[in-house]
Amino acid sequence: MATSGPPTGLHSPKEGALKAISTSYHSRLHAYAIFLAVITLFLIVAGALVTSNDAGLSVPDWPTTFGSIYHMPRMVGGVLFEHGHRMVAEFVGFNTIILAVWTWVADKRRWLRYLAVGALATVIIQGILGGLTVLNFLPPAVSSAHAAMGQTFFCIAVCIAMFTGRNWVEEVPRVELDTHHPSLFTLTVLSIIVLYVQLILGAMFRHRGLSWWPHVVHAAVVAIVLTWTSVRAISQYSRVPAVKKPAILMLSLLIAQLCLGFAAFLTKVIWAADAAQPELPMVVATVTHVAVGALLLATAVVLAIEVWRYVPVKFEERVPSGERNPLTA
Amino acid sequence: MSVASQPLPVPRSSMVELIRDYAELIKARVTSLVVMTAWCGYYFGCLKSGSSSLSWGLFHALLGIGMVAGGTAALNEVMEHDVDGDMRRTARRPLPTGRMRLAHAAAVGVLLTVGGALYLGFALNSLTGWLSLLTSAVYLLAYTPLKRVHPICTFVGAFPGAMPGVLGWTAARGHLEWGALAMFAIVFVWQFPHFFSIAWLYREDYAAGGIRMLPVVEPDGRSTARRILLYSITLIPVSLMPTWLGMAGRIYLGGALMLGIAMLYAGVRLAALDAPPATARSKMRARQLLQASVLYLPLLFVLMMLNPVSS
Repeated sequence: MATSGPPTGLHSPKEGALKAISTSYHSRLHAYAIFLAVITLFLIVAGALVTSNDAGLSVPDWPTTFGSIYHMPRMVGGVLFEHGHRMVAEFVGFNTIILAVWTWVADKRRWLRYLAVGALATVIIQGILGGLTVLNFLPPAVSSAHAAMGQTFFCIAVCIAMFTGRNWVEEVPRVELDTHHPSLFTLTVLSIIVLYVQLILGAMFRHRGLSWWPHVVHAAVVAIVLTWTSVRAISQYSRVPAVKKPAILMLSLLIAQLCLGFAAFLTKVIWAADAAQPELPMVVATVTHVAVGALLLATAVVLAIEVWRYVPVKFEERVPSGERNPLTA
Repeated sequence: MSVASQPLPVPRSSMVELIRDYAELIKARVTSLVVMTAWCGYYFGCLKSGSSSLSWGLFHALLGIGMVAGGTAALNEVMEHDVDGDMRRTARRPLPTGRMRLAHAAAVGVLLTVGGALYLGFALNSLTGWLSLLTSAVYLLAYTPLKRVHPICTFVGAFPGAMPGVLGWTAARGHLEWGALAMFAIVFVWQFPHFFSIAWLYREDYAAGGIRMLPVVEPDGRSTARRILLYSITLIPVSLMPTWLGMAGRIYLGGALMLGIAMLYAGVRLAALDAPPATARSKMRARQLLQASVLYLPLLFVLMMLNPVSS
């Protein structure tokens, strides 16, 4: 006899999780969150342009520009990149304030309110780090922290856009328990960790705090871990679109990023090692490499959250054996 | 006029059928692919030596390797004639239909295999002769029986399957080098998505013949999908080895990358499909992957040969 219903292993709905307090879908808030994520990516590109063009000290003071807050400097040479970056950053900061306030007022989910405020705190810290690196003549550690914090903020912006989306707010997820070892969630967390390490190694290299080889060697680790994660997600959970789509995107971005990394290595380390000034091929390759890297990290974060939501690990495997019995716990 | 003195009437159709039977016995299409891959290996071996590949050596190499490949295919059909009869795809081969006697086919197979190996050994060098014989032995004594025992057969079969380029190389150079290894690695990895897509497509046929390839033994196809993805991804960096080794140039590098991404795209489309191997939709995707893999290898080798870097 033919049977109907969900495939084996599917359970619904998932209780608890980040949907404990129900809220209504705000299409404008969601659109605004997407807008913030997009302009943040634009900000990352603007920041990468500053580094690739060696324009970090073109404007030597902060928070003023050549002694003034309001005066627009002549946008020539490195000033175009550095002051342009500051202008985009101020625009992103201003929009983050609006988003934080709007979320606090319009959304009932307390954790999302805190996340929006956290985004605001992150962007403030990011601005201070940007100022500190200028005032201290670009120390590699501070410049790298500025780069890493920028991408962290981008991930938060993408997450807010996802959490305010119609799918997240209105859909009751059909859960499929993960019985594999290591679990897909573990793999996604591992992916985020290796990507974050790679981001720091890349930033240290770009800001002259480290040689190129740790970043290049670690790229192999990133490639293996991300391939493992995306292949597991695509092949094992193809029936869960929320997992399958970011996994395919992550795999595609990984391949693009490895190609761009190779191009960046060629143009920066091999061909332009003794160049008197930044050359266009190097600038294009490195800036695109940074932008795709940010997209890759954000995709890994989205995948981890979707896996946590749709393909959780079985309760028995999450809790140590001694604590499963309430009497002993 | 007596009947005996008259020439025997040979109908044209039976002559054509005889040729067709022999062509099927030696798997002419597969053998021609083997010969083309060997040609590529020979070409790059000559390039490394700085000599022209258009020589008698090329003729000896292609003839000898073609003989061994054809003979091995014939012996494979001899060993599997009962299984071939159970599968729709192979039921019309000359042995299952009885158009050719088993002993005759076996004799042709042995003659071609041993004769080809000896020919390679005497006309070119002993390494190529021995390697061709070893390739044939692994194919017939390991891969062929394993097909009915365990899915690991695909992995074992990938070793002899990846040898033609190496044989072409050693035919030109007389010894093994990194360039030969690169060609081996490309064909070795390429075979997995290629053969998994075939097994996915002819799953029911293989099951009827008792062939235990992975898509046959697992009902949901998830493990096959994972392997297709993994090997398609691995193929991308492996296909770039000729550039890193200084055998091929930047045009090849870009082309190999594009081809690899196209093949991976076909693999992802199959793997990401939420449908078991038995469904028509998944078979359509498997066919697309098969078509991609069939185009991939000749295009890659043509690119390699059109954009060489001489040492």
